[in-house]
Amino acid sequence: MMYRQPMSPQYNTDMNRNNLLKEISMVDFAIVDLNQYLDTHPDDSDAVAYIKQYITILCRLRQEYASLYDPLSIYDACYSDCNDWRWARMPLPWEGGCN
Amino acid sequence: MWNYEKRLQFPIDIKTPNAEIAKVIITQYGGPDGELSASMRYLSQRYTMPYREVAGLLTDIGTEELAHFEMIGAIVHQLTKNLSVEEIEKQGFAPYYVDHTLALWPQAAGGIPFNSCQFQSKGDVLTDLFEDLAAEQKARTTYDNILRLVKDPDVCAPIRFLRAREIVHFQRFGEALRIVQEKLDPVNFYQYNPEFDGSRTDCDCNK
Repeated sequence: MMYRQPMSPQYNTDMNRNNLLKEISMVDFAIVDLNQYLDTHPDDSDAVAYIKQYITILCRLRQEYASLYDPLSIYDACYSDCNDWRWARMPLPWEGGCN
Repeated sequence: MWNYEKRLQFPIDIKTPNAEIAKVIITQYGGPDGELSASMRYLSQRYTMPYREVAGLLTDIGTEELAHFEMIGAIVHQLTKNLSVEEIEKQGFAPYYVDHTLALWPQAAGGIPFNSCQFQSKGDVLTDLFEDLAAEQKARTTYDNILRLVKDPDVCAPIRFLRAREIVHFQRFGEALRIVQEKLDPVNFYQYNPEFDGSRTDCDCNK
């Protein structure tokens, strides 16, 4: 996949980017919800196996997103081979569109 | 500590600005049953919570509420973005605009500013958990009221998501209450306050 500049017209309408971000949101939501469930059910080993599986998937997706687009947190910047600091220029989540 | 992620918990992409609806939804930004109150309530209560799993739950839910606070901010921002002065006047947004232009400021729908008195951090496990259970229901009612007023599907989708989270959090706090009650004196839950008396040896409440 081609790396796109955030300011380019293609960026906000890039379906591949939108879909990847949507997938990250869905997987992360499962983790948020499972984590709260585990706060009150810490011995549920099925749920522990489940959350670990989702965390593994999330790590891979975030790495992919950072290498193709932008780091979602500064700690994902290690997966980006850009020389400029992408974090400073990437779109802000409240801007709408693809966010 | 916290780390920021540059994404919303749930996507928000509102195409039609509507200041009238923004005026209503802002109540979940800084109103009595809003997300800021929710987050500050749980994150403040947790320090003296004597049961680690409950303190952990308060931390995790309090953290999610911050993400919801940001979602509400994004909704209000997108509903008021690029409004003309004529639209601001026509849609009844002038009293807010005169003080804040189009910036976000935590207030209730009626203009009452955010205030810590909107929530309690009482330092008593049972009192605080009942407060938290009530808070989740009050927020759920507010989202139900908002959904009766909003027609735009771009606004309804994230509001429905937030409403559903209130119900899940109510469930989790109910489980926390059960965990706490199992640890208390089954004859009299109010025999002593484990958040204050629990670690004190000089207290005659334990006798």
